[in-house]
Amino acid sequence: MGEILNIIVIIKAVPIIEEEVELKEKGTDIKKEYLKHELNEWDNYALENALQLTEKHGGEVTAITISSESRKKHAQQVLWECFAKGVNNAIHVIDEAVEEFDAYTLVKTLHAVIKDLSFDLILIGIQTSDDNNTQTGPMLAELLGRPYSSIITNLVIKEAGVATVYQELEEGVQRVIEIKIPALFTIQTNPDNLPRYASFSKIRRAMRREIKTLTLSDLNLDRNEVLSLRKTIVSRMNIPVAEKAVKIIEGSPEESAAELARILREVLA
Amino acid sequence: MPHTPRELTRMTHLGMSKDVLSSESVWACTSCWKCNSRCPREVDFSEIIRAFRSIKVEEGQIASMVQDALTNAFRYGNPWGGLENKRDEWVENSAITDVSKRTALSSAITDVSKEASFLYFVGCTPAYDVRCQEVAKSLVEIFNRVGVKFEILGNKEKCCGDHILRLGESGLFEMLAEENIENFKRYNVEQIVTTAPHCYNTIMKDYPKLGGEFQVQHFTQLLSELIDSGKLTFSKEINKVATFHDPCFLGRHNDVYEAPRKILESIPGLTLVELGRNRENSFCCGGGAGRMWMEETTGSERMNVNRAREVADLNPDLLITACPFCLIQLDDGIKVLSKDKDIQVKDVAELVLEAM
Repeated sequence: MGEILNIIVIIKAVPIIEEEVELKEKGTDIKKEYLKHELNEWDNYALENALQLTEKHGGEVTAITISSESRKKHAQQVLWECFAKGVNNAIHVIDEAVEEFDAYTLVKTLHAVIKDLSFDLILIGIQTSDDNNTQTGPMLAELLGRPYSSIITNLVIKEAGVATVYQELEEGVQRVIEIKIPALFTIQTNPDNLPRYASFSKIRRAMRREIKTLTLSDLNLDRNEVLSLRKTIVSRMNIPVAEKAVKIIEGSPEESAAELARILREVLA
Repeated sequence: MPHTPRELTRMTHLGMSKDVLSSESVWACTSCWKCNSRCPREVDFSEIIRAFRSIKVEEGQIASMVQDALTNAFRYGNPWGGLENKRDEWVENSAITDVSKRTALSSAITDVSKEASFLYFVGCTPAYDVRCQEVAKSLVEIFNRVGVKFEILGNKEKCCGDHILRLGESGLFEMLAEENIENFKRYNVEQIVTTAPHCYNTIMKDYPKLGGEFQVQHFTQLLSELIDSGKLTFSKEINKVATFHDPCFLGRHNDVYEAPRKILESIPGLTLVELGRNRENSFCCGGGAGRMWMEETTGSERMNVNRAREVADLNPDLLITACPFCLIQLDDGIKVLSKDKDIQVKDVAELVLEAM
C-alpha cells in the first residue's frame, strides 16, 4: 500500500459496424475511415482498472494509441474520452503505414514508444473488436521482457512491488495470482466493475488537453523496414453472402406449429 | 423507495452528501411533478433531483443502461440507438415534404414560414419505435386530410434532449438543443407542433435559455383548435367507452388538461369516463426523466402496472393517452395484467383518424 503507480494503458479506436460494410479496393480490409469509432470495449475496462488504481495509490495514467493518418480523428476522439475519464497523459503515434500493420509490427512500434518510459503496470484489453488477434498484450510483454498474465478481471496492489490479479478461467473458475511488477496484464470485461461515463462537458474540456503525437521517424523506425517485419499479411477479406432467406410462418399458433413440425420433418428426413 | 423527497432534502441540509448521492431515490424520479404540485413552498424538487444526477454524471458513476442511452444520443442523435439515416424511414406518405431533403434538391426553398404553417417535430420515439410510428403516421394523415401544410426536418432532426437533461447530462442536452435550434433558424421555423409532451415542454421552456424562442404546441392543442375552427370534422362513430391518462409533461408540467378531453368529447359515439386519479392528480406512467432507459427500482410495484390496475378496475374499452412514452408504458402495464384483449391502449391521434 501507499506505493505510487505509473500505469500505461494501451487503447484503440475501433470501428462500429452498423450496416453493411464495404471492402477496400485491394480487398484486404474493410473501409473504416467513414465509420463511427469507439473506444475498444476491453481497453475501456483496462482504463477503468488503471484509473481506480491511481485514485487509490496515487500516480499517473498514460494512454497510448497508434493510428493511421486517415483515422487520426477517430483515435483523437477516444484519447479525449480517456482524458475526460481521468487519464493524465496521452501519446498518439500516427503513420499511414499503420493501416498495413499486423499485430507484430504494431507491437514493435509500441515497444519503441514504451521502452524508455518508466512504468509499474501496462494494462491492455485482451482483444480488440475489429482484428480479434489477442496478440498485442503477450507479444509486448515478451519484447519488454516483463512478466505477464492474461484475462484479468480485477487487480489490486496489497504490498509494494507485487500485483494480485484475478484471472478468469473456464466455467467461472477464478485463479488468483501474485506477480512482481512492473508487469503487463490483458484485461477482461467485468460486469461488477463497469467503466465510468465521460460526460459531454468533460469531453469538451478534454479537447483542450495536449496529446503528444509521434511519427515512426520520431521513434527511429523506418516505415518500409517495419512493414518488412510483418509476420502475417492479410491476403483476402470476404464479406459473407446471405444465401438463405428467412421463412415467416403465418397463421394461428396451432397452424404455424403444425407447419413448423412439417418443415422440421422434411429437413430431418 | 428508500428515501422520500423530504428525507433527501433534510439529508442534504445535514451535509450527508454521500448518502444522498448513493440513494436509489436519485434515479427513481420520473419528474412527474406530483411532489411539486403538493409542496406548500412550491419547491421544484425535480430540479433538485436533476442537480444530484448531474453530479453523478460528472463523476461518471451511472448505470450502464443510462450510459447506453446517453452514448446513443451523443452518437446517433437519439437515445434508442437508431441510425441517423433511418430516422425518417417511417415516412411512407410522399405528401410529407422533408425540409432538409428538399433543400438539397432546390436551394430556392428553405423557408418553412413561407411554405408551411408549422414544423412537425416528430421526436425520437415516434420516429424509431414501431408502435409509436403509428401515432406519427396518424398525425401526418390527419394534417393531410385537414389540409394544413407542414414540414419535417427528416434525418436532420435530433433528440429534443428532454430525457437527457433530466438524466443530468446538461452538456449533451445543450449540444442536441443547439443543433435543433440551428436547424429551426436555418429553415425559418416559427411554429412547431410536437408528438410528445416531452419535446413540447423542453422546446418551450429549455430552448429559450439557449437562444431558441419558438411558438410550440402539443398536437392535441392544434387538433383542438382545428375542431373549434371547423376544419377538423368527424364522419364515423366510435361507440366505445374511453378513459384518458394525463401525461405528466402535458398536464402537471403545462396545465394542458382540456385540449385532449375536448378532442375525445367531440368524437361521435365516444363516451369519456375519468380515472380516479386524473388531471392534477394523475398518476405517472413511470417513463419520464430517463426512466424509460432504466431498470425498475426495488421494492414497490412498477408504476405502469399500478396505473394499469386502476384502468383495469374502471374497465373501459379504450385507454387513451397523448404521449409516446405513456403509450409504451401503459401498453406494457395492461399486458402484464393480461387485460390487452379487453382494453386497447391508443393515442389521441390514432382515435381521431379512426373517426374522421
